[in-house]
Amino acid sequence: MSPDEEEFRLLYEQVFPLAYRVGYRFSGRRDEAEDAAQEAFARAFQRWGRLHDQPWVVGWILTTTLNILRRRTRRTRHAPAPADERQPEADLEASLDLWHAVSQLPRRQAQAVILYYLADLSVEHVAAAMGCKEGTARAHLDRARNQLARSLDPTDGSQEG
Amino acid sequence: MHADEDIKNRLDRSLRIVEPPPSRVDAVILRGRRLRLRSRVGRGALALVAIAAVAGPLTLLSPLGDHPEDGTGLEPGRSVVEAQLRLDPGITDVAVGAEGVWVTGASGVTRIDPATDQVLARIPVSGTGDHSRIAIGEGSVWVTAPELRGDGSRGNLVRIDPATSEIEATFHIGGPITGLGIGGGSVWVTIPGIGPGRLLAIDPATGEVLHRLRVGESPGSPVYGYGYMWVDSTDSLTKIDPASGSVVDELPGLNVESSGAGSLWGVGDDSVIRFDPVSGKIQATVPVPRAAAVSVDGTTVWVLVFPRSSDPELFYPIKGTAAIERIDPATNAVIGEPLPLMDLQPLALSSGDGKVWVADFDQGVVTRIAVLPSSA
Repeated sequence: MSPDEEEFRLLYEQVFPLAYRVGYRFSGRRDEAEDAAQEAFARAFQRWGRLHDQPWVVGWILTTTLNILRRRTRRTRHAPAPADERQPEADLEASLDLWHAVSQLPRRQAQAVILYYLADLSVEHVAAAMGCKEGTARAHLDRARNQLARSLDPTDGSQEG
Repeated sequence: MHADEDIKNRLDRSLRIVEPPPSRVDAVILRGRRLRLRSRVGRGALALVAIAAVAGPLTLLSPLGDHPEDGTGLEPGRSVVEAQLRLDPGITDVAVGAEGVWVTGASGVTRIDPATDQVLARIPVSGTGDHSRIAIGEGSVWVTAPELRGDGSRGNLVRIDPATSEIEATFHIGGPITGLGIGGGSVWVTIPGIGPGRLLAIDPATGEVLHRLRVGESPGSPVYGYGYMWVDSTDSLTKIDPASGSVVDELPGLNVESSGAGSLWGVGDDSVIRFDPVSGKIQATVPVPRAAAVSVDGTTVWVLVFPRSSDPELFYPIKGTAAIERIDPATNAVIGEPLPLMDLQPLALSSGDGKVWVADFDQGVVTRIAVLPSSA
């Protein structure tokens, strides 16, 4: 096994669960989430020479997973409603409400939230992974935060302005 | 407003209850490899879209073009497999010359004696991987090693002495080298980037970078022809003066694979494109379904035909649908019958002395093909 392949396998083991879970939360379908995450990793392997040393490689994979899901959802018209097999606990329910709010965000804002909060990327690297300027990424994040606050807590004063 | 920490914790918590499926990294890597191979072949297909728009009417008006050689055409003859050698799987390129047939791939470089079909040397080259290219010129055999090596470096150019079959020098270039060509006294490599790619001219003796140019996205291997270097990318073909390293012309949409018979030759979507190196005008479009690569040898243009896929999106090659075709440059017509190949992923061909060698990635088979008279 080449060092490159070894490096890719390591990243796959670390990041695939996250890509799958994010895909599942957005599609509500395990099969589609798995397919999309795997396809995103295959495309990453295709471009590994260019991606491997980018600090935003995880962001690229997550963004690609979501883009694949979005195109397939549009094509097959699945309702993107997350569903869980088991009854959520009360505090978990609040977390799922947050996911629901994220899934209602405009696409670019949702991507920025996932890259910033789940992939732990800096705003600079969020911008690189999304292919936009840092200021644009920051604006997406700010708007997303405000929208999430409005969705989750209608009495939150931050909704104004 | 919810604090950042709160948002992160809640998102994390809701994800943790979702159990991921078992790892299928091997299948993902296999799919990634196939995507790599397809993109290498598909560059030519993208090029034809622009070619058709710009030059289609011209081609229709003059289907045989303005070819420089007049002639009565080759005897059709019959293509036959003369020899097959099974090497390690993962072969990515082949070059004929310097008293041998030289093959590169994941396992390094192999030298074959074309007279006896025996392996003369196996030369370990670290970092060759799935994108290594090989070329002959300036008295040496040149191999790219784009992948990570044990010493931590990536993107190396290796010079092999054909007299000894030993590595003479390794030049660290950096970056994922994808293309290799030799001409005008330099060794030329291409490096893709996020967006435009780069073309570097390397001094064959010292490894010094002589020229550094920006070219189009996903550049292919540079080709030397008629005094210039030619580099195609997804949307254009760049013509470069090798002495000054300056761009002479940009031609939209053309793809170039080989030079010979007074022309440059490339592949498009289900066709071979012949164009004039001076004017850049298309001289002929020869229909060849799934044409993937071209090698010009004297009076024969050899065309590698990629296998058909059983799936419209994923690449599942059908055995026996790859082939070798020949074009007569005097008439711009396909001659003889196609020779079917069992290869699943034939990636490269190289011709010399009236024969052509085809390298198959999937099974590691190298095939030598020759032409017999029709009556034989």
